[in-house]
Amino acid sequence: MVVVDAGNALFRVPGVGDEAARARAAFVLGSMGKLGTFAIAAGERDMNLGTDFLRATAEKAKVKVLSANLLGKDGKPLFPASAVATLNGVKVGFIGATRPGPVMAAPGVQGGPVVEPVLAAAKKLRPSVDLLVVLAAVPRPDALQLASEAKESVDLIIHSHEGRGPGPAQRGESSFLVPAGERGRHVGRLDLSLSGKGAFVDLKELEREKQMVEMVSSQIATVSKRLVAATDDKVRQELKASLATLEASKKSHQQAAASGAGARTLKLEWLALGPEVKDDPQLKAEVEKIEPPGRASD
Amino acid sequence: MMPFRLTAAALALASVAALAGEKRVTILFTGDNGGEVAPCG
Repeated sequence: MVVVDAGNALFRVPGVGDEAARARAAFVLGSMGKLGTFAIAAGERDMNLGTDFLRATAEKAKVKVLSANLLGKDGKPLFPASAVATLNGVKVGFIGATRPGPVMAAPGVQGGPVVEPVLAAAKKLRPSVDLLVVLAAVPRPDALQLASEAKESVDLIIHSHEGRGPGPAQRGESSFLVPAGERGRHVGRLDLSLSGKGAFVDLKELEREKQMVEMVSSQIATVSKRLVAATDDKVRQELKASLATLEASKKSHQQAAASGAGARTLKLEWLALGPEVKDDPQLKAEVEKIEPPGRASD
Repeated sequence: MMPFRLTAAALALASVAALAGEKRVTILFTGDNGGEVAPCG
């Protein structure tokens, strides 16, 4: 198992970096380190206190900060573009991406174009990894463009920026675009089987297709009974036409449901971090020093 | 973020082991936390 973050983790409002914000940011990143977080994308809301603060705090927490397109005043990359985690012999490459444009709190620092440097990093990593994931702290249009242009260069794009909350994995041409949740309300879990070949297949999509086969089969049975009982020629013709449509639909769903055979598969689940998840008392006490009860943002 | 809850969740999820011989990997991920440290759900 590997834990990562798609960025925009540390600060509530872009540009605000007061002492309270500093304490929260340091605590969040420190907690990520304690959780064993492997890497985080450098998001705009991770840089309110500049890139030096982000780098120093992440180094202390032993969390890698990644960005293929975040450039310093000298035009050179400020963080590594990628890192590789090895899990039970499986190599997973992660590439970070940052919102294009100037970083409000870090004069001279800016996010360059997203697609080209990410694809360059992907091309370099692809031959040596089993799975390639982009941690994309970029606006959704940039994430969609990346998904479109990356084709089979990357497998998954985990996307943060707008706080879209949990949702399904969205199939692109050859990759999946996955939302990253928001405000710590959920943790996403991707279970991936890499034993097959080709593009990933979403097991939840396959489950839905199987359910559709059952539903359409039930409709076919109902229409068939009505056809047996019908005597009016016009009604019989209409029922026969409906049956033909339903049979075609069933065949289509059966084919889709069978598409997972031999393929690499993914399954995305969301764990809500609500009251049903037991608190860690020691961490909770530390949180309450930073954010006394009743002072949470909502 | 609710790190105290996230810790408990991560530990629970960590107990799921890969099936022998299968090339599998599990990725746990978050994003857009926005400096959240207190319960907000």
